Amino acid sequence: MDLNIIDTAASALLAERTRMDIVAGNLANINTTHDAEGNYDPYRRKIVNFGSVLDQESNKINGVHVSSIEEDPSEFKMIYDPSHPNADEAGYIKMPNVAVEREMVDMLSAKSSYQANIKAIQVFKSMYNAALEI
Amino acid sequence: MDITPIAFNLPPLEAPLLKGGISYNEQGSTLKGTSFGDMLADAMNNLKDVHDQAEVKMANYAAGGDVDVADVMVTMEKASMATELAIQIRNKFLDGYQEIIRMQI
Repeated sequence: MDLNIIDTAASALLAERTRMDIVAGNLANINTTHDAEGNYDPYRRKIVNFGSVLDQESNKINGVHVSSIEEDPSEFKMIYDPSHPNADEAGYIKMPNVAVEREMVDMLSAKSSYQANIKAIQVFKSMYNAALEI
Repeated sequence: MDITPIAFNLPPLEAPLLKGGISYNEQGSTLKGTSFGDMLADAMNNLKDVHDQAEVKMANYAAGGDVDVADVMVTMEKASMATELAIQIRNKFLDGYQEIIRMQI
């Protein structure tokens, strides 16, 4: 019995943690209308894409990794705020396309997956210990 | 009545500790090459490597390095599992040894 299962589950732990990082970033920037240099450029919601990892030796899929982090191309939210210095002629200002509800669902999903993978490690551990009692 | 032997299509059991341990000659009956002592020493070296890895990660984490907690825990868990396997192997070996020592001649 080798310990590949643990590595597989551990890769998922890292991937889910990255997803949680991105969700935290999205939530933190929910009201961000300017970029790092201070120019008017509303924050775009980030999306994490997962890709499977192929083991070269055994040619089996074992694990997952973050294959890319992309930006959500959907429309910005338009908020009416004529007093804002960056408002357009009609008095509207673009706000980030982050929706709290969706981020919450993403966060819970990341948490559940994380727990599921930890459970997988624990179960494997108890199988291993059971084998040692033979 | 013929009893057909059961053919297991299982891959050979591979203990991570015992890589490159036993080798058989063409007849497949007697051991050649590495002795049990060498094999045990080899296994212990592997075990030490696993422990060193865990220790490096642990020290790195304690020093505030860029290490994931889960990664540290997983590495430590692997070290503990490898140790338990080593202890079981030692127990089994000692059982066999004691049996031979107690043999009536």
